[in-house]
Amino acid sequence: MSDKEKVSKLKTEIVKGKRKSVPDLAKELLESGMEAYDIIIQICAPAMSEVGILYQQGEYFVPEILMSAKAFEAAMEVLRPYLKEMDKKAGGTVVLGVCEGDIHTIGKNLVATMLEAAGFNIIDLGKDVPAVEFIKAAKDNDADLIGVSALMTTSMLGMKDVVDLAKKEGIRAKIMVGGGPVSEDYAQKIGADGYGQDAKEAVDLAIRLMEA
Amino acid sequence: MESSKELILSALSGKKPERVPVAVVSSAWVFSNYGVELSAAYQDPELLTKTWRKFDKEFGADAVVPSLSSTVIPSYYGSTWKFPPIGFPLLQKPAITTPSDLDKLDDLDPQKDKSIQASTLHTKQLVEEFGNDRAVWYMTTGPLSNAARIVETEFLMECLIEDTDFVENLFKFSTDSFKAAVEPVLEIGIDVLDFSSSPGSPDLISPRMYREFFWPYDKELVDWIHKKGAKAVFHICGNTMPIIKDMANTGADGLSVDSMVDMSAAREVIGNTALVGNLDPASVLMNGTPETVEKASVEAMNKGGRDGAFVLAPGCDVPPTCPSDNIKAMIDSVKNHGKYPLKM
Repeated sequence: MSDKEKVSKLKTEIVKGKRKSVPDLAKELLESGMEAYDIIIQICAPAMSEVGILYQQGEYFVPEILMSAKAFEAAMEVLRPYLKEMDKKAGGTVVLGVCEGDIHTIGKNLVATMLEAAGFNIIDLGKDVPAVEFIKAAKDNDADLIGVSALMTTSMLGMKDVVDLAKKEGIRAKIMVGGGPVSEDYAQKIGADGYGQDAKEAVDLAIRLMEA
Repeated sequence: MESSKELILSALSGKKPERVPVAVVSSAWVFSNYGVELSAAYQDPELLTKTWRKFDKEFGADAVVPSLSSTVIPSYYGSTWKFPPIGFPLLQKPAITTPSDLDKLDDLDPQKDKSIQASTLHTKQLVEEFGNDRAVWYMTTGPLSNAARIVETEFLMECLIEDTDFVENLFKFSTDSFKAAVEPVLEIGIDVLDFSSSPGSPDLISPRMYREFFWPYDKELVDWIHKKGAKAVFHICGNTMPIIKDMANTGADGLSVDSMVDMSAAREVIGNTALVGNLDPASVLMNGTPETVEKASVEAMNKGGRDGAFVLAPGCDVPPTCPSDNIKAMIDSVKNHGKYPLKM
C-alpha cells in the first residue's frame, strides 16, 4: 500500500469504526515519516466530521458513531505520545460532564471525542457530576468552555445550578448544554450560552463560542 | 354506561368507546405524590396497594397500574444502583461486563425475589379490589430494556456491531427471565401487560437494526401475552415514527408513544392499533399549568383518537416533581371533552 493509500484507508477505517485495524495504519504512517499532528488534522479529524455528517443525515445511528469514536480513540492512543507540546495548544479547554443524578454518558462521550478531534483540550468529569465539581474543574483548568449533558427531565434541572454557580463565582468559561430533553428554549431560559442538538452541533457551537 | 375497564378494553380492541379512557401509566409519580419512597415501597405490597387505592379515589383514572420496578430483574443478576432522593434509579454497576459472563447467570425463579413476590401480591390485591370496574394495567420495563441494564447500554451498542451473537443470546436470556418474572401476574388475570423496549428507539439505533435484532423479541412477547389472555401494549421512547409500522406489525393491541410522535401521522400508518399517549412529561405535565395540560389533552385526543383506539396517557415516565393538579387536569379532560363523537 502506498502512503497515499494508507492515508485514505485510515480515514475510511475510522469512518467505518474498524477499531482493530486503525492502530497499525496509524503506526505505519508515523513510520513513513508523517507527523502525528498532521495525521490527526488531515485524517482523523476529517474522518470524525464525516461521521458527524453521516449522523445528521440519518445514515449513522449511535452504534455506528460510537464505533467510529472508538476507532478514533484507538488512533489517538498511538499518536498522542508523538505530539509535540506546541501541537497541543488546541482550540481551547472544555470541561465536560453529565448532570448530577444522571448516568447517561454516551452522548457526552461522543461530544468529547468530536471536540478532541476538532483540537480542543478535554477535561472529562464523567457522569453524575454536581454543579460545584463543574465550577471547581473550570477554575482549576482555566477552562474556556463548560459542557453540561443530561438525558433525563429530572437531571437536566441541574444545568441551571451550573449556570447560576458559574455566575456567582465569576467564572469566565461559557456554558453549553445538550442532551435528549434539552432544547434551545431551555438553554436560553436557564441562561446558558448555547445549545447543541448533537455532537456535530456541539463542535460548531464550541468553535463559535471561542470566537465570540 | 361503560365501566372504566370496558372503555380501556374497547379502545385497545381498536374500537370507539363511549369516551376516551385515561391512564397514568407511570407509577413512580403516584408513589412520590403520596410521599412513598420508591426503594422501600417495592417490597411492601400493602403499601403499594394502599397508595394506589388513595390515588384511585382522589383522581379517578380508568386504570390501576401495578408495576415491577426497572431495577428488579437486572438486580436479580447483580446490577447495582444509586437511588437519588428525587428522580429515577441510576445504574452503578452492570451485572455482566463480558459476553462470557452471560453463561454464568441462572434462570430466574420468581419465588426467590422479594420484589417480584411483592409486585405479584400487590397485583392480586388490585385485581380483587378493582378488577370489576377498572382496568388492571401492569407496567414494567421489558426484556430488551432490562438487557441494557444487565450490561451497560454503551456495551450493548458496541455489540450490535461487533458481536451480534452475544446480542442474540442476551436478548433471548432476558426474554426468558422476563417471562418467568411476569407469568404469575398474567395468571392472576390482569387486563393489560405494558412493557418498554427502549433501546430499540430510532434515537439510538437504525430502523434496520430494530427490525433485525429487536423486532423479533417484541413480536415474541406480544404473542406470548396474547396466549396468556391479556392485551399487549408496548413503549419505545423518542421519535418512533420510522419504526411505528413495524411496532404495529407485532400484533400489539396498543403502542405507547412519546410526545415527539405526531399522532395523526402515526394513526395514518398503524390503522386501528390503539395509540397510548402522548402528553409531554417535561414541558406539559411537569412545567405546564392545568390549563395547558387540558389544552394538550384535547389536542392529543383530536389527533390520536378521533375514531377511537386511543388511551390518553403521559408520553413517557412522569417526573416525580410533576404537580398533582396537572395530573388531575389530564384525567378531568377526558371526562369534560372526551365523549364520542369528539368535538373539534
